[in-house]
Amino acid sequence: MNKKKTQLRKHRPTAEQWRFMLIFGLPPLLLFTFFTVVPMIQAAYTSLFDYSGYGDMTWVGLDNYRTILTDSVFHQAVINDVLILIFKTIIVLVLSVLFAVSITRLRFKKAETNFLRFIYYLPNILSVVVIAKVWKYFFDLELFSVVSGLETPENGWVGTYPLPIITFVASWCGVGAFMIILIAAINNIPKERYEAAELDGAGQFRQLFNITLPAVLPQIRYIAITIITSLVPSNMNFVKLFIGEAESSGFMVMGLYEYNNAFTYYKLGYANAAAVLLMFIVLILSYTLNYGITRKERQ
Amino acid sequence: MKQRNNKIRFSAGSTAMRWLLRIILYGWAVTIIFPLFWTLATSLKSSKVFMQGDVWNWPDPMYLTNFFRAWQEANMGAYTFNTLFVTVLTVVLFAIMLTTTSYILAKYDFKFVKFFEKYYFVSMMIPGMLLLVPLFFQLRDVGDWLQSVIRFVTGNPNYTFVLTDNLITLSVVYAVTALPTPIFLLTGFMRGIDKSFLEAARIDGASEMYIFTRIVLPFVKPIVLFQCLTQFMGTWNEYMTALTFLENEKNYTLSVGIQKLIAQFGYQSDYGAVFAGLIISLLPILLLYVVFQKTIQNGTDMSEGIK
Repeated sequence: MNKKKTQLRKHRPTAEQWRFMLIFGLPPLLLFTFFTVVPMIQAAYTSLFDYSGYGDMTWVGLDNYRTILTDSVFHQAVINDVLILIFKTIIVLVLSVLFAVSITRLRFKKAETNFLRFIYYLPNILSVVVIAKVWKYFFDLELFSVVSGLETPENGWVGTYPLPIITFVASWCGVGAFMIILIAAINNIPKERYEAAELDGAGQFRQLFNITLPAVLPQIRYIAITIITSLVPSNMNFVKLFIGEAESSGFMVMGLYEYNNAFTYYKLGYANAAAVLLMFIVLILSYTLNYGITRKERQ
Repeated sequence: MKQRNNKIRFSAGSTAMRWLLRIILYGWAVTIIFPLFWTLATSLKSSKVFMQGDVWNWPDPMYLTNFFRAWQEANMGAYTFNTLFVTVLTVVLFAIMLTTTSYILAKYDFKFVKFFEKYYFVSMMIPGMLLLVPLFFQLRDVGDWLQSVIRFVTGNPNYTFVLTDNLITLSVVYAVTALPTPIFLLTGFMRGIDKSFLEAARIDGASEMYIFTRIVLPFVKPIVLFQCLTQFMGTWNEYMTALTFLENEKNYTLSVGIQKLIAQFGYQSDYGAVFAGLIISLLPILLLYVVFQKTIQNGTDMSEGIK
């Protein structure tokens, strides 16, 4: 009887706890709902209308979605995003694994390791505006041509090769933080495993593929998912900063497609339909990846 | 024999291989340091010298006028102040909402609290940037409505109020939309606090506020510090939301203002001032990083571990 009573009391907040929750818990909850959930519902709702963002709304059903799915500009945007995603993931994973393995296995002095960690992490803290502008000037002022000895193409480097340049700069920004995560993971692998492998005569590459990589699979999944979820904003930032209004150069990514339709062409309903589609694409990508890697982990 | 094995276990291939890897490592470091030094060098160069083709050398003599011109003529001073205001307000709001909400989610195990925990975590899956366009239009509509209310109440039909073009609104948006992932992380850490501590304090008659500030907060201080630092840097550097929300030039933050600076000086090929502006905008973050390097890097490890 007594026990039951204490159990009961445990699951009912005291007056003071109620006050704490009302003062501190409720405002963030309401603001959060208002800033994320409500706009999402509203986006889904207005995507069914022909709406400029000002004035009247006309019901068009799924027409916005139909138009987007047949729009060749949108196709190109999806292709660009997916290409950047693939190359960026490969570059970032290969480089961060290479750097993390080298730093942990080369037995650098502590000062040297710390120096490299300090430098490698720098691009992660710098503003995307500064990074994009510095690299843009590096290419636009023809300094790249001087360094590489190549001739500048007619439209300039950024105008001619937007995809490789944006992929490179975006990967350049990401490697440092992921390398630090991998270094911590590699340092957690029991040393005995490497010793045993060494005794069995396994070379460096066998050790890498049979010990290190399987052990850091959770970290690799984290990196890949982070890349996917940050892909749309990151691409949008870079394209906007590198190319400006991307329409003229014909280089488009999904985030900017949505943004331009809302703010340049005043087609808010249409833009929101694009946002809903985009959300599905990102969710599907991250779930498939998550599922794939989790299955591999279990094996 | 055992001693020997100990020595072998870290060996990383042949000497040639080690040097190759070392060269690759330092090569990548150069791609990071070089652009930064080049930016600094250009910002200290008179634009005449730069345009005459002296783009690589360290400036001699150094030319500090660029910084004064960027600071005053291009309003970088005002932009810096705006950015600082937004960033500090965001971090304060963020810290309060993050710690209290995490405390409630982690330590109040009532049924409805569990529901709200799920609610936050499901929203974590929504990529925030996609909401920018709908959020902007929603806030614009709310702002229009507020404006008409204010006009009605004050009886002044020309009163203008733009909710979106407002540094305080921007800060609240930053702080609130950043919440889910940090809450997820911090709730995990707060679960690690032994419940008996809190129960004992409650029996001794400690108030909830006391328990929260004196027992729970000290326990999670390092991770909260890391999260606030990340939020500080993220807000300082944020671009797309600020660009969308801020219309009036007097409200511009640095990342938006730099575009203006480039428009003003870049087209006259006055690159010295442009690069001085870039240096001004990244210097505070760089200082913060140098001071808190360990916290930031360790925090990066920790935040991955929980997922």
